[in-house]
Amino acid sequence: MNENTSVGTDEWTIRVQDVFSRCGDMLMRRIAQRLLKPRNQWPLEELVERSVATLTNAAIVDRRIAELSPAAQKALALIGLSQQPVWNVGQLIALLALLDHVEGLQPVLDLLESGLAQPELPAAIPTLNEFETWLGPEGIASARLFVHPAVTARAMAVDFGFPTFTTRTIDVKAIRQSDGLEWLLRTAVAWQHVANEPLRLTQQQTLFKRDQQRFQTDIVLGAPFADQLVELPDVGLLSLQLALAAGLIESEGGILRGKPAPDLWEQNLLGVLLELGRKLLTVNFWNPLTGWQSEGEDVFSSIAFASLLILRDQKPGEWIQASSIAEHLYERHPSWSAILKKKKESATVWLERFFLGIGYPLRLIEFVEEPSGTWFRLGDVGRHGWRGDKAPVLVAEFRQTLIMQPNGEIILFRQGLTPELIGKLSRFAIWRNLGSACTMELTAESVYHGLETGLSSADIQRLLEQHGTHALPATVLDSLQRWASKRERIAVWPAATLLEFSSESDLETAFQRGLITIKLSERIGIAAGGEEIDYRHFRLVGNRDYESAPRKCLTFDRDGLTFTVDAAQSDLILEAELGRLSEPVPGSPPGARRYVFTPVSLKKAGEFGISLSLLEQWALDRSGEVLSAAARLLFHGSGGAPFNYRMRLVVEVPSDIIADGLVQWPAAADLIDERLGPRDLVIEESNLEAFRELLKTIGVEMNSGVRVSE
Amino acid sequence: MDLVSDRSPGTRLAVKLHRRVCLVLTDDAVTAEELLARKKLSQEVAGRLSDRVLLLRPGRLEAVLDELKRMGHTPQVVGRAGKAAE
Repeated sequence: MNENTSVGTDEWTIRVQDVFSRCGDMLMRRIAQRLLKPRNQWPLEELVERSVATLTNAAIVDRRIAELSPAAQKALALIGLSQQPVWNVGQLIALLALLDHVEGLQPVLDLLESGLAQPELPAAIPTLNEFETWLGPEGIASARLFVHPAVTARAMAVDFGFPTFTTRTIDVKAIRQSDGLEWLLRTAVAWQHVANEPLRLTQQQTLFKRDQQRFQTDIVLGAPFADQLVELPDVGLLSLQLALAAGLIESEGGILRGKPAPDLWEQNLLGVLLELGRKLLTVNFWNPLTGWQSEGEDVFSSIAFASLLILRDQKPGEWIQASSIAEHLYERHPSWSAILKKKKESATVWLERFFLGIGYPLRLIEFVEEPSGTWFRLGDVGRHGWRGDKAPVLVAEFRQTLIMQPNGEIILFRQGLTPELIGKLSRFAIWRNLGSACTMELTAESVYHGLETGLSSADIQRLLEQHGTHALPATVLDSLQRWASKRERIAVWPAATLLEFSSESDLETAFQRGLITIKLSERIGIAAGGEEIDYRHFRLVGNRDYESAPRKCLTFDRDGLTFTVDAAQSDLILEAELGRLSEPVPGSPPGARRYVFTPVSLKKAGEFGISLSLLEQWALDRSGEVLSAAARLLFHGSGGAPFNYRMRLVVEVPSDIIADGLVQWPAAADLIDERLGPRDLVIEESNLEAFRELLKTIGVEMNSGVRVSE
Repeated sequence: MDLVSDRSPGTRLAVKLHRRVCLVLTDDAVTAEELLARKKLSQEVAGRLSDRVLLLRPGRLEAVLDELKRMGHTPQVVGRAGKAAE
């Protein structure tokens, strides 16, 4: 699914810079040769900088555009008119074919080689040596390129050379107009679904089957339009795509999430309609005949944009039939006829559904019914957006537009709805029905969600009062306050910045200076100002990042049980762990933090659910050493095996070499029961005399009860 | 202990900085006890800084939020929508 591409001019410059920086030496020099025409042999870095800067030099860009092939010039003009800097290569080639340019990939390569367009490079291509390298794995069906807006701004004055279509001038007294809210409302519902439950995408960046079905069968998203002229398939999935394209939903790391407070809702209705009209051209995986298509060739944006361009090309006041446009496009599009299974009449149905189901509700298209059929032209928003005509005035008629019921239901009249109101309501109330009057519902969960997006309970109450036709029912006020106060009971800080002071009085001083917002314990508080702390007030004695791996901050004594904490390296998690695993060593020198594992402390750790393997990992993480045998013994005991004691006769020999010799000498080995240590051998009492006699044969005396000397 | 500091306003205070700490702050100790009594939540708690403050294990935020919601709480997630706690 395509992500939102609304970024500022500076960001496009950064994107261009990134692509140029990733181009190999030969390729970059080839691009610069056409774009810059350098007279000197500049270093690559300078060549990149100069090439990027050239794209905002109108005079040079005009000359470079003039040097392009006619097809490449038209491609640039198409991208400029679409007001969408990012285009799918396959769709662009199809659009050129609709303008009778059947050169295939050549105009696209011409644009790329000229440096006026750049490929969207995946991370898998760190260095680009040839454009074919990029097109190869991506394929023209999914590869996308972009053009800096400063370039497209210079390229739009192009005659696309459309033929003359059969048009009519029709005297229409009152043109039927949509209120422009339909797709705004549906994208708001789609946003609400995703904001409440983020969607994980497949590896192919499309929806899982269950999510696809959820959006296909959603009652609210699939409700008939207030001014329904045709029935569209899979409206829910198209709404989701539009919401994503318009920036209500963001895609990050393969997960779709609703933005807390999308910018789209801050615009007026005209701005929203223009934006949705632009973003419509990025829709893929959907068509007006069969709806959602997760695979197969996609033609939506090329057909939709070409049909709008043909409408734009007609004289003011002229109306045209969908069949005329369909016939023209059907004959020229590289794959449309195959997708429609050679049914030419389906092309007209496709276009009529697009015009009446999407274009008309967005006020991009107007229509009139005549005995000869339905005739179309650009609507007031479409004429303003694509032809520069005067901006239509779209203002909500009433401010008081909702009725708040005591049971939490909200009835909304569309005449007073604005993008801002729809946006704010969507943040704290659930859409239940869309129609000429819409309904929403306030629930504990929805209000909680609204508060999480940054609204306060006072904001919610004020909004409902300002736009309500009646005073808020007491039950609703009571519920709002109750739900809001419940939220105050628990605050979760995902990434707090804490300051740990050396004394309680230091914390109090910082609190009085306003450097601490909340005191958490006697010595610890949450820093004011979030991540950035004011170093004029502080001297750092330690710095820990809790999303990094734990630091080594313990040193064990030789006993393997007692350890010293390095206070500068330790963290709060360690403090909590120490209490669970060990006991402070009494009588430690001042300032030294010493702890010891005891049978009691390690038994308590086991009761907390800490296993031997966790303890081993903890010791390794915190000290860099493996857990000592003593600690293991205290924690684990003998693993259930009993200890035995008995009296044994031990022969101590003067050195380990002699002990080795005795163990190796078969005659002696037969009499030795066990070797206990380097110099200690166990002899069965019954073998003692035989062992003594054997030693005599090598001239060794064995005494009783006297330790042998070295 | 006298909590009124005698430090001059320009004195730099010695501090240890703890960044990106995940914690739960409850409005009273009873609520914190209630959370600790929940087995699935107590597993995610690395320690208790005070009677109202629980320190969470790194990377376990979503699991804690899910469990809190399952318990019927509506926790305020500070900083997610760019809004600080009151």
